[in-house]
Amino acid sequence: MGAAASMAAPRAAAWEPGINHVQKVTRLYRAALRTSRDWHIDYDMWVKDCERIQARFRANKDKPLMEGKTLVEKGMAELFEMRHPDPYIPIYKPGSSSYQRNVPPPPELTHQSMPPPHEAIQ
Amino acid sequence: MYLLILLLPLLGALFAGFFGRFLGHKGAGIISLLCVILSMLLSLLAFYEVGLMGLNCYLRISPWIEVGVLKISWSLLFDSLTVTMLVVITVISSLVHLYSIRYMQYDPHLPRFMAFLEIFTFFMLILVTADNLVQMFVGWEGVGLASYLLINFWFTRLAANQSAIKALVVNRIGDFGLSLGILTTFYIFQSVDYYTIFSLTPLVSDYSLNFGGYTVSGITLIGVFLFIGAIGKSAQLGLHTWLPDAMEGPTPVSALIHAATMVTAGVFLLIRFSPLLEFSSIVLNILIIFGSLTAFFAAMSGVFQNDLKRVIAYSTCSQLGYMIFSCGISCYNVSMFHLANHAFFKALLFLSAGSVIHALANEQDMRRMGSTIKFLPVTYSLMLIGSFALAGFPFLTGFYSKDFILELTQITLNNNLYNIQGSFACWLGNLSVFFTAFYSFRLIYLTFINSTNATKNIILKSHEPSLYMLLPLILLGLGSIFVGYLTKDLFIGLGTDFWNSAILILPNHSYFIEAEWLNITIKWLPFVLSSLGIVLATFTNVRQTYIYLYNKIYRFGCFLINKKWYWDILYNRFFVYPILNFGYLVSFKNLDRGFIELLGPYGLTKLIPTWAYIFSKLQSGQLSHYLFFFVLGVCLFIVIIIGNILFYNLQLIFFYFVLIFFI
Repeated sequence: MGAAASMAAPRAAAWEPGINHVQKVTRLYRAALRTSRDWHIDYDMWVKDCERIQARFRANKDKPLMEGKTLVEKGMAELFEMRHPDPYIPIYKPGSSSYQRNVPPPPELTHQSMPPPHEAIQ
Repeated sequence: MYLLILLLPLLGALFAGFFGRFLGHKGAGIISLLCVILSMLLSLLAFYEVGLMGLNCYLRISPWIEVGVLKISWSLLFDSLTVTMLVVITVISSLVHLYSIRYMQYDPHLPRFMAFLEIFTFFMLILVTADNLVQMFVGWEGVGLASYLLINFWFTRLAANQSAIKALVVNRIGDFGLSLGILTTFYIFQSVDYYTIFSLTPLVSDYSLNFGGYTVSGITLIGVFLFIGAIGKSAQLGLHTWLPDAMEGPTPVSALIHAATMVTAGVFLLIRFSPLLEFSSIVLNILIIFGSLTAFFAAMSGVFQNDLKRVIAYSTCSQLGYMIFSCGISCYNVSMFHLANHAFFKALLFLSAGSVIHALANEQDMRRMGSTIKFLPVTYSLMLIGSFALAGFPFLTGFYSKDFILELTQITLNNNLYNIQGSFACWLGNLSVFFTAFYSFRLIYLTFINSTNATKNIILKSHEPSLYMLLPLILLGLGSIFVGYLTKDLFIGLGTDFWNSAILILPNHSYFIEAEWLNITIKWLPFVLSSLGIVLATFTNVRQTYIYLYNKIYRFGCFLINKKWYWDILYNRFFVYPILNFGYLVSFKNLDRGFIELLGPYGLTKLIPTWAYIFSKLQSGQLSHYLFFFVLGVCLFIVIIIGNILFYNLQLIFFYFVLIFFI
């Protein structure tokens, strides 16, 4: 988990404790795609890289569980090595440019501070 | 007229700030825009009268501080340097105001935003029109405050709060240096008035101060302190970390404050103090080294940034480095010329970036842009003009100042000048040209030309901005093309008398004639490097090769540069956390909460009940105990009387014993 601390949250999902093997593989796959997208500036090239990543996962699909676990560990190490210094974050997600911009006050506060309807300025 | 130049923005700020709710979005916008446009027109008149006609103007408004020999008055000084800055500030400010009305139209706090912009303009005008250091410091701190308020404009954002505090704290270090500079100036000159200082400088050039056996030249000390101020405000290497983070503010703020005007205040200060800096070669060398290192490191950092505004922010940092090392090689007029030119093309780049961000639903990451040339052709054309001007493409505005700075550094390569620092600046300056062209055109490709990475919804809704936003861009575009060509001879022409006494260049520091006779092949060097940068950016984007992606060295370089050379991490580890720990453990827990509180009311409230309890124990009810204390008291009394006769200090010793006993 120490390695994952330096990564953006969606990319570090595979490190989350208490998840089973299938969840780990799925999260690793999604994180690998996201990391690849961070590095690629061209959509078509990224799609090609996605195919490459998918092929690697499919090739190991039927491996025994113990071997699979080792492969996942290796995959996580590779993911950490390939992490992007500035991963893309959607604009309304924490850490991005529009997150928390002009957040409306909580409704309970608004209702308390609002004058009764008959006194409100129309 | 001269007073109105300053007062109109203040008036606009008061109206938009206090009556914004009544005026509404439109009213606040129009009033603040009108005020700043009027101020701009008057500034142009002042430029004609003072700059072109050579009629310097000095207004003494009222006395301010008169304590002993310290006499400071509220006065305004309008010389050619001031009026040039006035024109730059008010023109860019007017265009940014016009742009902001539409850019921020959906923001619920537009009147507050306009008021902050006006406050900034007012303080910037105070800064440049001051005739003494203290008044200048008022403006200096005022623009710092305005910068804080504007970075923190979206105050609900945690990231904005952090960036604003960072900008404020980092600038405080520079401000502390500047205040030390003001104190040293007063100590040496017994005055803080510019003209008194400048006229006395040659007489005190040999004056030195002694610090524990080390002798330091007074002029050098002042120069170093002023430069520390400039490092903070102009984001030079060491205190530059706040500038990229300041991009948290809205884009018009980045264009006005963090590109065109406020960050140039440090450069302005150094140019203003040219009559003093000229007498200290040590300070000039420091300027060259810091300026060229900043130009180089910032240009390199811009190469691997993905945030559209951050790329331009690093570019600003790099260009400020050019201005500073230009001051270091005593070319203050060229530095000022570059400052004015840079204001136009950098404001253009930022505002164009704002248009792109606006069109792409606030997306700032260049990896989610592309193909916008089809939807924003005018913005593309204007950004291309800005990028070419920044890269120093021939006959555009940036070319005339930036190329001339590089030509002047190339003079220092001559062995007979013994100017090693100048050669250092020449190498780093030329390398920076290459990186500048590379990141500028990487930005153009990623944002406008490469295939799109945006979603369908965003693409369908993207469109050119309205005329309110396009008009400032077009005017700045025209400025980026023509300003350099039109004002070249006025500002840096050989033998121009425009600057009069505002700038002093000692004859042995002047290389202007040599620059005219520089070898023509060397003059081509910046252009060649710039073209190489453009070609490399084109190659990497058109060929779209990703072999380098799987290269460890490349990834390490990418990390290093993208993470800003780990400056923030190093600062946190070696300065911020140790100071924070010291503040908590030593000054707070041991001194404030420990020593001072124990001696203060908190200590007394703890001490009195404790001792009351101890004394209550003496009331045991046994006669033998009372008899013992009675005899002890009598004995002590006798000892004091006899001791007082025999030993002079016994009373005092007894007093101390009692004190220790109680504590």
